[in-house]
Amino acid sequence: MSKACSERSWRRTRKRASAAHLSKRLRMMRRTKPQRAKTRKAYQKVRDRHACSLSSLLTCAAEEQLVRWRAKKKHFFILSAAGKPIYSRHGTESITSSYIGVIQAIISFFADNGDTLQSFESGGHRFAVTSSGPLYLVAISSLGETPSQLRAQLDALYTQVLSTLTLSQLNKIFSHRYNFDLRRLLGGTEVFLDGLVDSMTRGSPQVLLSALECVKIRKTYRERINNLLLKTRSQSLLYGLVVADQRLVSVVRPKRHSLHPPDLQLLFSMLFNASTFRDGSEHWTPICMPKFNSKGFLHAYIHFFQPDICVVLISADKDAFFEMREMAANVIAGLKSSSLLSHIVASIPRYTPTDLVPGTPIRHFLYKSRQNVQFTMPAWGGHYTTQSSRRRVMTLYHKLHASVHAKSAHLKVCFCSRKQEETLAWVLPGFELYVVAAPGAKREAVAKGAQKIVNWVRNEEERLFVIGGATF
Amino acid sequence: MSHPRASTQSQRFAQFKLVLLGESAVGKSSLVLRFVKDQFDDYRESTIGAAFLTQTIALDETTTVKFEIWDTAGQERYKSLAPMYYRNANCAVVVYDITQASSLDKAKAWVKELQRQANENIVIALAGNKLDLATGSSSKRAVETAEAEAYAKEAGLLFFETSAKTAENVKELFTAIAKKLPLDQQGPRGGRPGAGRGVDLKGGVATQQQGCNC
Repeated sequence: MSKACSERSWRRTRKRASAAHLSKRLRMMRRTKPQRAKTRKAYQKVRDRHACSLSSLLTCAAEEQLVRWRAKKKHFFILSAAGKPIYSRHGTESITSSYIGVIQAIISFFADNGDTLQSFESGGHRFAVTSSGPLYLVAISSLGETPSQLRAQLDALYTQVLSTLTLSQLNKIFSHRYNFDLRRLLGGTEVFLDGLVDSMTRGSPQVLLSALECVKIRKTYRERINNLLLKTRSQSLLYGLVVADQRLVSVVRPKRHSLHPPDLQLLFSMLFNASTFRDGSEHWTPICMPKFNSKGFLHAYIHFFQPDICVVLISADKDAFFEMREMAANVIAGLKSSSLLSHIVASIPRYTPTDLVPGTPIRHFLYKSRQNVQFTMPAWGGHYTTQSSRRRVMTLYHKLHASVHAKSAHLKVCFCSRKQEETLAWVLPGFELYVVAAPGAKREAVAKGAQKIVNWVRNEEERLFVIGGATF
Repeated sequence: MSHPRASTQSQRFAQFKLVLLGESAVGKSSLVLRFVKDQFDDYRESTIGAAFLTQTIALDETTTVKFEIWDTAGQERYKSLAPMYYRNANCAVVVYDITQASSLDKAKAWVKELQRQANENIVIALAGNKLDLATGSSSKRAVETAEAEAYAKEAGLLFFETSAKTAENVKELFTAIAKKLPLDQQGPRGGRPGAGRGVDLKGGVATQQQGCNC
């Protein structure tokens, strides 16, 4: 992390002068809680004083909105190279437009000098910028992610935009009309962008590890589901998947086309981070999977036949709906008539660390198999029942991840003692393991537990991960 | 294009493809949801691509009609996909929002496109949705009933003002369409009632799809 900082230090000094006005605006964002409470009280006073005047009431409401907007821990913006606002997670356009203007000014200040602004800090906030095709994407976070972690999140967001439009369409639009208002074409997909952004604000392990999660299920069951997909496969099927609770159960694909984890991550986010597809009806939607082909659309048949379980059949043929529908009906009938559906349902609840290592102080972990680009994690358990405690743990994972991934670091093992948890990162060529344990836990106990987790994962590898997947 | 199936002389069963078209946020999905599940959500996410639903209604004691419904997304970017959904449709519901005058213009454009490009016997209904917003003194109505009705008459469309929220006229709309469809075009076919009917139906769907989608 320190190296990354020094790389940018000169850039930051230069930026300070140009962005003085921005930091002024951002000062509000850094206010502590008591300060914010004070502000609220102040507004209350103003409101009381002008209770009779409608216009002053409106002003108060607008200012309160602004305070709430500034208090958000994380912001994501998408703007066009011409500075047109395209997306902001929080706030109305009246609030965000001036900020987007400032951001665009800063980015183009560096661009005009033949330089690329990547990230900078202001107070407790880190800003990361990516320039992807004709778009600028900006993340502002007070959660302590590194610039490269934020950029990975921006890449995920960019992938979501591409899935709606394709790269070729995006480039075409902006080459014809530099000033185009892209919101018109993205209409209706805000829920996917919001869902993805919110999952990243919660601290998405998928995006952090750039890996997929699978349900833990017996190898023979997974094989039987694979075989069911292969047996019912129809002519124009490209990819067939069964997905449960944002985790992969089973996948079939042609031998010559592999399935890229970022594409699947995108698909899973659309399926589970928004309620669009989860109404029990059958959907047929064009989707661009940028790693497969950023130039064109595939067409996805999506059916949540149970609240958390869906069949996704992807074809390159836009007229293949009825063909996919028939296949899906056969797959679902096959799952229901055998015991397979009940095995899938039973595989949804996650295991706990104490299931694997009785008595361990380890409360939670992330294990990434580098070879399979997949990860596994236990249930959150009794220690992390609230949203905020889970986010805190995810923030710890981000810090551990950063410390073993910094360019200057050659760390293989990193222990870190914190007020509420002991943490451990352990990285070998085959895997990455991140662990949180009870406060005050002995290092040996944590290390021993970690070793046992690694052994357990090795033994269970074929249940935890989809290795290879079935091909045709 | 209709697929009447009759199990006996007195029992008639027909299956029709229906497509919903119209500007985004006029309430196409809400109309379908009311018709198919008799539900209403105050907040609904936009339809992405298209959703496929089915609903069977009894026209009278002897006649059952099954609708296969394509609920399409209203956004501009899906425009080019629309022919895929209306190409084989027997009937279409073109929806506008009675509180948004511009949505009627969009509806008229859809009607024009359907009359030019779709199946020539297609039955088209015009539905002015969100009727619940046009009641009382605080009416938000922007399209007068008479104006839309006159247009519908001129263009040869069925016409209803509906409210997916209160269910007003929703069932009536679909029933009117079913009644206007040529149930007897192919006449009743022989066959036995009971288990045989289900199998026959399935076969009918599959062969028809192959015919239409290849």
